[in-house]
Amino acid sequence: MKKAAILLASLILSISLAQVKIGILSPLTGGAAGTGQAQKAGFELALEEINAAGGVLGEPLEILIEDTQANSDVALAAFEKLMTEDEVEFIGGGFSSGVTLGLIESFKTFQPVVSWIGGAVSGVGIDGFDGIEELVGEEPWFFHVHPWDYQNTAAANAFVASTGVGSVALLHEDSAFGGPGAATSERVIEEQGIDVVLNEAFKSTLTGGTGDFRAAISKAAASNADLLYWIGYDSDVVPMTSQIRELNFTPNYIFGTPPGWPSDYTEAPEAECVAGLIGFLPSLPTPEAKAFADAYEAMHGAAPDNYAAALAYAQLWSYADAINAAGSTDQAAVIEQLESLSFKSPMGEWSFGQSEISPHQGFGSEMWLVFQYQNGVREIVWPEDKATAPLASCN
Amino acid sequence: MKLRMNLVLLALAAVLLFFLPDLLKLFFDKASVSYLSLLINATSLAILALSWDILARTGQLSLAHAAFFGAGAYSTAILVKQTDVSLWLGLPLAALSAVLLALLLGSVTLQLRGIYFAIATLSFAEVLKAVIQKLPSSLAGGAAGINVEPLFRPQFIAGEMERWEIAFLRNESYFLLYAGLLLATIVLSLLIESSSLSYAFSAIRTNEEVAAVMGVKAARFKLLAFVLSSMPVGILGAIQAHRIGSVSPDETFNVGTTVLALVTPIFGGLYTSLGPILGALGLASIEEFLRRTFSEGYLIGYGIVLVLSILFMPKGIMGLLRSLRKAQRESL
Repeated sequence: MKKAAILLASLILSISLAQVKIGILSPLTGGAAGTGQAQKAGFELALEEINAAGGVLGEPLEILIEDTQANSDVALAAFEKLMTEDEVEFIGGGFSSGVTLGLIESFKTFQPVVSWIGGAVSGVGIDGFDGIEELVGEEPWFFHVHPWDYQNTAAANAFVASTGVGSVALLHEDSAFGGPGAATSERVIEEQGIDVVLNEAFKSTLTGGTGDFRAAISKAAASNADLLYWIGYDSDVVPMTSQIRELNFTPNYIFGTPPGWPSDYTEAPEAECVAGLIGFLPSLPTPEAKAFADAYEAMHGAAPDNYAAALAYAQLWSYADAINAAGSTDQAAVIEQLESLSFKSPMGEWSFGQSEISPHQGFGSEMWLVFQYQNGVREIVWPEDKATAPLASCN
Repeated sequence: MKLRMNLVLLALAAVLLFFLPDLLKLFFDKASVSYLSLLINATSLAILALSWDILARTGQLSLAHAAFFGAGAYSTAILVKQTDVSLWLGLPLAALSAVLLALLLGSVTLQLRGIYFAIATLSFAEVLKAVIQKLPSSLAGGAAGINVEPLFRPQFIAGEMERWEIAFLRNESYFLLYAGLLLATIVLSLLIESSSLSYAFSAIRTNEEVAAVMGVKAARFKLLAFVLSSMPVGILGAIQAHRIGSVSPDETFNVGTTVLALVTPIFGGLYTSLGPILGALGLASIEEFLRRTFSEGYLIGYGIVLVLSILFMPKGIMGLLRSLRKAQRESL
């Protein structure tokens, strides 16, 4: 009897002290490695802080990061490894709509709690195509951290409207990122009474383009638009803006929405007056932003220059808080806490709420900031309540 | 005689492959899901490599594999989207579309040689991708792409099975389909190897002018090799589209597909049926081993392995095996 009691007690103890493992899927290598490495840096910082604060359920939290290479086949194998070999109950990370679409069938099979950063293609507003929000948004175990595509577009277009310009030339890369985004932007901008005088596609350097955007820029210059709005990738930033200078195109505003900006671009002469959309900047005037930026720099020796780091940090903290509040790894209890709690993040307090379809949407269009390179500094110029400097004209 | 022997070995391999998923489940329980996923990727790589090698036997360096893969994927995706016919009809349609493209591309490029042929085939994949993007969205989905229904969707029965068993059943079905396509590609390759086609291909590869003097109609044989090479890739593209659940121009016409199709048979050993398969199994195993051993920088190790293999195994794994066999024979 005594033996059985001891056995039962040790079993209960071993269950309660079991280390919580969170599986992370992130593109650490390949074309999206910049974002993946930024996510990893954010996770590492959050992990250190969480464990220093007592861990999860009294034990150090463990994260298992699997490289997806931003490739659907690799990501699928990595997810199935996490579920069946590592036996994790929670999935984090996430990037690329194509990769996410390839994982959905397997997500639905295993149904772990999935908190997903990337994969913004919602499918909302695209006829005949089911996007991520349409396919998985209503699932009780799916939580989406990053804003959806229509929320990104809403923020960018609100900024364009706030400039008071009369005409816009729209240049966009021709793949799944820029194509649908440009179509929606054109419609929304025109609804705001602003003329879209040009909507021209170019081939991004990321998808095999040469980096020569002169033909598209010349058309934009000929259109005499007040604002040049370009949608492309990080690797297009330098050729795009240097060729705008080379061709002496001087619209009032140059506004780009690549997922990230080259870290050493701030000092480049062609950066002056270029504006861009970003999810987080260390200069954000909040205590959370400063604390995150200082801790990040102390750990990694550089400032966080990709907002994916801030999102990853926020995501891991939300898991830790929810599991601790639930008092166990029971899926229903953790989901209930994720649904009801507010979490800390470098962007301020946040929680999961309703989007077009999903009841579990994290950040919305309010996450976005517009910065402008001014004298070698990235100043926040929009929205007004977070601005560190007024928007300057390029003319 | 040699063909008959090879076909017997292939039949034995088919039996082993058929029972492999159940053996994995028996020994590794739920981890078999993950291992099957890796095996599917390795099998897919072997199909790409072996089908590419079939054309390489004529001396042509094709960079069009992404185009055939994409054509197969898109033809099945469009069929599924636009009609209510059986999903399985997409597979022969994919083969047909790849063959038609090969005939079109081959008839205009096979007079080109070496790097000029390579550039023309690479451009073709890019042109096809651009065409897909420009087609009406209602037909080809535009830049966003098209959703594709899975070929296999086992149903979960609560209380009778665990969730991982659904994943196992799905992976088992896809693995058998990929393995079946690989076996069919091997049979095709063996038939070529054992027929007079292999002499014609070899003669064209060695010296096209001399081959012509000997009566080998190079253009016709190269076109045939192009068609035979494209067919398995087209079907592979279709199966992949069903498994991943969507197609999009960027993901489907990915130049990485062509690079893998080229590197793998070089690593395994060109102009044989076994070489590309050994290459695929070797590269997939090395990558996974490195990934599991070194969480950071494993691709550096993978790159070093490739460089070393080019330096010290210029004829690939098959060349190494031949050297070892020769050395063994000489020592006896």
